[in-house]
Amino acid sequence: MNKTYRKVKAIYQKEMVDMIKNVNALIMFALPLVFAVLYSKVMPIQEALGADWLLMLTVALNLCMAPLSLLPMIIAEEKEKNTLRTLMLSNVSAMEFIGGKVLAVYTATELINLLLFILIGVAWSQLSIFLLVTSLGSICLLVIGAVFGLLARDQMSTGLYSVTGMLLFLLPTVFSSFNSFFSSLSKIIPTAVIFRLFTMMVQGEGNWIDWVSNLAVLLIWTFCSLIVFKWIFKRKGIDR
Amino acid sequence: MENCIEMNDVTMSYDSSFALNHLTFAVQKNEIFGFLGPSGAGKTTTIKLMTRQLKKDGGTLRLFSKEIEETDCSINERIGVLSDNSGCYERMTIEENLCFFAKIRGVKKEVVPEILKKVGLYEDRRKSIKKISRGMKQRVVLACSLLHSPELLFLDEPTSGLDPATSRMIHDLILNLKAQGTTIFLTTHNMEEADKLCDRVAFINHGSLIECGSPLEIKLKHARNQIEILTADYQRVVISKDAAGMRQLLTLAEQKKLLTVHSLEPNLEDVFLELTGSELR
Repeated sequence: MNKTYRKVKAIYQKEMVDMIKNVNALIMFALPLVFAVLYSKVMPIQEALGADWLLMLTVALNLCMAPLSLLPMIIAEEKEKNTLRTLMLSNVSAMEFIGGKVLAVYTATELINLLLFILIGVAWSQLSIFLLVTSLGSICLLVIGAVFGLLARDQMSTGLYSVTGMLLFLLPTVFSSFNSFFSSLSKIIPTAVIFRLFTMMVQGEGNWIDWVSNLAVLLIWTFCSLIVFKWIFKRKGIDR
Repeated sequence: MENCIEMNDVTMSYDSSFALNHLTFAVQKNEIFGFLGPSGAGKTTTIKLMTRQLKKDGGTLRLFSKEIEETDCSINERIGVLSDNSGCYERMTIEENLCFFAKIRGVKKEVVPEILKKVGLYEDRRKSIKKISRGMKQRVVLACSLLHSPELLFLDEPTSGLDPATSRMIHDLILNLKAQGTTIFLTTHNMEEADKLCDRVAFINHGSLIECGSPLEIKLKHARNQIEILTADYQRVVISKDAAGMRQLLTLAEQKKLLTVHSLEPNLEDVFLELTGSELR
């Protein structure tokens, strides 16, 4: 257990430092922040659509950028540069490797979510609920990101999976208020569910059926993603 | 002598073609064992089997007297690997790379400067991996594989594509490691390198072992039993090492026609060519 902790911690610390030096990562983290500043400070959209909608848009973008694009990219980079092989031969197991990466991306994602919360100016009293809900929601997206990382051979090929994931998770969330198809689809999309849970908690809305159905969506996504992860990992391994 | 590696009748195939064909050999503790053969002969596959990166189809493979299937990841704590698919982190410096792998291995940070000095990178330790040459990168990866003082070191073509000075530095390091008790499994297609470093060598071609022994034994086994003489009139004469040849040599000496005398032993490359009929690439 101590050995596992030591290795996961080493990978986590390396990854946190590495993300600051990684231009791709910085751009991915900057995009939701830029949108938040643009919409809340430069354009008057926040007043028209509300702070909640803006928070939903930028958080959804952040959740699509970091777990779905950055995580597979940094896993694939290790394959491409042969550092994964060196790690494996240094007695790091696949789960320790993925664990360190997922924790690092999770920390960075929540940090950006916090900055978005501050930038958009949502009431501080809602912060703990916001962090709890986004943390819950990001777990399934991180597992999906790890699946993309397993599937991708190199950094270039992560684009195929990430863009598909982003289209699936971002569009229904953003356009759910404008289109009935996206509205129906958003009921089973984790990024939209996160926002619905947040609104329900803040405004004290919804009955137990709403709570259970929304939480069930997140649980089902997480469970299915874990099964797919396990299946692909068994079939493909981490660097084949 | 205790064996570090024992391979017995090991087979391994990709699709329908044999990568390793009933391979049998053993590597003794604290020896430098050269595994020689042309590209595609099965050298890297053999290393991958021994480092649990691939699974064999048949036969037995024992590492430190334990069946490879019975070992777990902890075997990696006793071995070090430098291969063509080893890499280091480009956004980090040489020293940061080593410190990271030291953390992973659970080795104290104080070991890092020692290892850096060993591989001749101490002065360059703050250089970014992005900005260093291929030879230096190779030494960084080698340093990473030495951090935990492995008992058994796999070196897959460690000097391939490196300049003579860097190659020499790596040769010296390999000999030092042996002196400290490390067993080294070295694959190369550089026969001179093998002759210089290895206690024993094995030739592999098309996945099959075709010769195994010390470089001297192999060369003598395949010696042509001939002597080449350079006469006073600059004629090269080849004579056999039997009584008749010796009489011829004596006659030439008495006539003061003898300039030089050389025993015609083949080098490892000659033996390999003789055995396989193919060139080393």
